Amino acid sequence: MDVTIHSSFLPHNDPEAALGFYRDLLGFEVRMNVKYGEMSWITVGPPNQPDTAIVLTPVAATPGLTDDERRTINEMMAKGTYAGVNLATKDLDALFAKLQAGNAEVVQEPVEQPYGVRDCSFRDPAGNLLRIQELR
Amino acid sequence: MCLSLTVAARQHLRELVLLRRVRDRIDREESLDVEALARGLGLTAGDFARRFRLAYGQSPHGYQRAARAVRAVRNREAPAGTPKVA
Amino acid sequence: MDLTIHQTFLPHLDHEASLDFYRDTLGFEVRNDVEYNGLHWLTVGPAGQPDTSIVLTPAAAMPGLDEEERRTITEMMAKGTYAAVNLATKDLDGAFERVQAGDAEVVQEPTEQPYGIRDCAFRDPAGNLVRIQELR
Repeated sequence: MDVTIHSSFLPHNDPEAALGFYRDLLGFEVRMNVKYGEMSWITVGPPNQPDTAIVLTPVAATPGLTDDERRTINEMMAKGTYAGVNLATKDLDALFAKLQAGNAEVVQEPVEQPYGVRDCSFRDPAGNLLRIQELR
Repeated sequence: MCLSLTVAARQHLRELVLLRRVRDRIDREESLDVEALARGLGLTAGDFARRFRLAYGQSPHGYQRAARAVRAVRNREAPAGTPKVA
Repeated sequence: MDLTIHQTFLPHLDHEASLDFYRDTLGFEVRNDVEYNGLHWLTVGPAGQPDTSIVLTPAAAMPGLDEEERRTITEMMAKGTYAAVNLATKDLDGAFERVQAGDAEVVQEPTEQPYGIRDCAFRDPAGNLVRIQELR
């Protein structure tokens, strides 16, 4: 069976900040940007990976959540314990330098991990943890 | 491994799963028959609406309106060939 | 820049049930199964997509969450408002049949959507919303 992974979701709480990070700093394409009142759903993806994307969603404004849940989610996002995604690149040091120069929130500099991978990590403007591993 | 939960907590989660199936049905169907949905859960319409509101922050009708409005905007503005919002 | 989306995350409640679903029903490879203190992190992905995976995590049991956060996550998972992923396939009807035969919770049968995409939706054993769209 040929089922493939097409897109996954990450929360955001500021569309301009999200675009500044994913489009301007990471160099992702903006494939869609749908606005409804205060809410924006922004679909982004790497130019060389046309069949895979991340949908940045205004999760705390989505219908079906209680006020308590919105509060808890916002707190977890602020604490950085809510969501994340893992990316990959051949040139980790160049990417790290670019993100640092762009004032992204560094969590961990490039380091060789005990599990056999060299990676670094950042937070996006919404607090999501992005781990970037080096492809060898 | 599971979190260790009390019997009451497990029962509460089971009820939430039943409510989620009802919410999925509300998302899928055109009309909204609160009486019929309540009957399916063995609850009165009032009791069902109250539990739905506690779980999802809105009444069944309120939720359906809000969710539909969001979907309609996203679907209308989506270029052809774009996946539907989940 | 050659940055790609490498791994995304979904929560699980029961790693055996999730393995049955992703491996047996969806036909994904199991790329890793890391166990720590009785908790499992499973990495799964389609054979035809070796560089992209889903990591199934014991989200509600993660260290670093307080009681209210654990409860919120557990309840949102039960309510089906916590997490989702979008998959794709050329054979939507075949995929749907296989999923239905595996007893998954069907949310929406294959349907032509207003703007020309055909898709279906169901929930995995942890309540995550899995949408599959047809590639044409």
